Amino acid sequence: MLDIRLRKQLGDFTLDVAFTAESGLTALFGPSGAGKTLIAQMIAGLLPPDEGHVRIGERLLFDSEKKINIPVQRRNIGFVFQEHRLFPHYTVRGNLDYGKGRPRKAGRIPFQRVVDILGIGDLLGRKPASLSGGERQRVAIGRAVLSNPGMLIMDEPLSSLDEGRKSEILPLIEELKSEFNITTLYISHSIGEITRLADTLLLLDKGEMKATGQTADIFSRLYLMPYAGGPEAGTLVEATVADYDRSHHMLILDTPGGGRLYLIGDEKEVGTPMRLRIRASDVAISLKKPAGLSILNRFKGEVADNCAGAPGMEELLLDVGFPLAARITRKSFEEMGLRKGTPVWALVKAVTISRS
Amino acid sequence: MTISPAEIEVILLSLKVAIWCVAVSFIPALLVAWLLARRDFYGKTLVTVLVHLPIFLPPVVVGYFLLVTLGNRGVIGGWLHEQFGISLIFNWKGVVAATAVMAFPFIVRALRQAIEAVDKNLEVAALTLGRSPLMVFLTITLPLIAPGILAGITLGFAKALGEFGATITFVANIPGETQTLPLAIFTLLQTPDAESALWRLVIVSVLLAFAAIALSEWLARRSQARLGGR
Repeated sequence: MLDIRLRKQLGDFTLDVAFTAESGLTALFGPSGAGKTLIAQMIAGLLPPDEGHVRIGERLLFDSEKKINIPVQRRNIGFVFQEHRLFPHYTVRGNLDYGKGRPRKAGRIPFQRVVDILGIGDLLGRKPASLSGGERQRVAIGRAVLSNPGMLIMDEPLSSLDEGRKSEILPLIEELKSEFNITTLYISHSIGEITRLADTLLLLDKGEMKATGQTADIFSRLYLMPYAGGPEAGTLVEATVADYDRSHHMLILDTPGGGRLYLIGDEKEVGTPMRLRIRASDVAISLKKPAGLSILNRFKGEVADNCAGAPGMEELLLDVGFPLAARITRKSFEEMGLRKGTPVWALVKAVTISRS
Repeated sequence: MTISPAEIEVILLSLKVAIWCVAVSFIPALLVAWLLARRDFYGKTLVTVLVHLPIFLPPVVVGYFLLVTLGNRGVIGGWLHEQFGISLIFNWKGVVAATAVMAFPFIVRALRQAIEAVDKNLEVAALTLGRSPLMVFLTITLPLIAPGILAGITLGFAKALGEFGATITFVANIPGETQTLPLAIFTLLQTPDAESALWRLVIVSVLLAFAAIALSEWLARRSQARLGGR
């Protein structure tokens, strides 16, 4: 669906990447300065690559060898920027309608449905200056979606918002994604956003692709950690609902390895798949089978890999039927005599597990 | 205090010249302002210098240049005269040409500052929504520089009403043909016992200035209000 190869030299910085991505939502993830926004700009036609090609579906938008360079306005790529970039002299409705002249192959995306999902129906007559930050960004997302793009690029669309606004808008993006199924490149340095939205993950650092693949696969690989950013590093676990303990308001899930996983939550139908995130710093390790502990989630396994983390820290990858990242102190690591292959019990407090 | 028909003729001619001056210079000024604000091209410095020259040259010198180039034997004037039978010498069209050249740099400066103040990111966003660069200019850039357009028009209008040196050098001071307000006042100053007529035209000049400033302030406030609030 997306077939991209880009090379660009900017001063000392070299960007050289090639990747393909299926339809659905592909996340481009990496620390700031990795070159994420450059890639977005080159795909959209806002910046010419030195070399390479950009192909979306059947359409070749850029090819340095064939001297093809379709201008921005004919690339049919909707763009949601970090800042809202709403037109100050148009009303919300005027902004939403601005891109509707775009020709389309598939059916038109219905105006009312998008407005309903984003909850901006009451704002249509207002000017951007009178909107709050969250409202503006919702309108900006609606404007890009309503331009009937063949592809959507979202360049850190939530980075200018506070946590409260972010958690309001994230589910809306999720809903737009499932309702209209527009091929989307989502750029972010927030793990929370990516684990929740992305089907495919591209991991970028210093102008190079470090890994590409299914989001859950990549997340469980230890080498993600230095990029995954300090306290938020962790593992994604795909589990299915096996049972519900109504009196304790507790979901019981089957993990890929067969172990049981407990977490607080509302009742769900048996068999419902859930994607959970377990932070590495929430995982404790025991050499013996634990007893007399409040911790409910106990997985038997072994140390699969380890590396030194931040000063005084050790990053471990455990195999407990599924890969699980753990972060412990260097002191514990040494005193417990842990090494590759050491059988261990991994302990995770149910209250720390979050739905991704 | 009554205004004589001759004085009314002077006032109407001045207004006609000022309106034509702005009408003729506006589109070229917009083009030049956009080029200077948004494009890098070979010879940009030369264009900048040429555009701004009338601000720094004595108006008499500008008038002399106009006489040499636009006169009936001038390079451009001669061609206009032969091809189209248009003569700028000693008539109101010549006054428009003189005031337009003198007002041009002021209009360009106002427009250029306005265009430079427009957030280019908005234009980029409009392109990603599938509109052509021309449509983006008409629907985004132009409305956003509306206050600058007003400022440019007002400045150009005021410059045309007040222009003296280039006009009198290029097309002389002919009552009913090229005699605008400042030229008429200049004549009255040299006429004995014309105090009352002189004062009438001075008062008219002041009133016109007030009206122009008030109108542009009002329009500027209206266009500002369009950007804010509900």
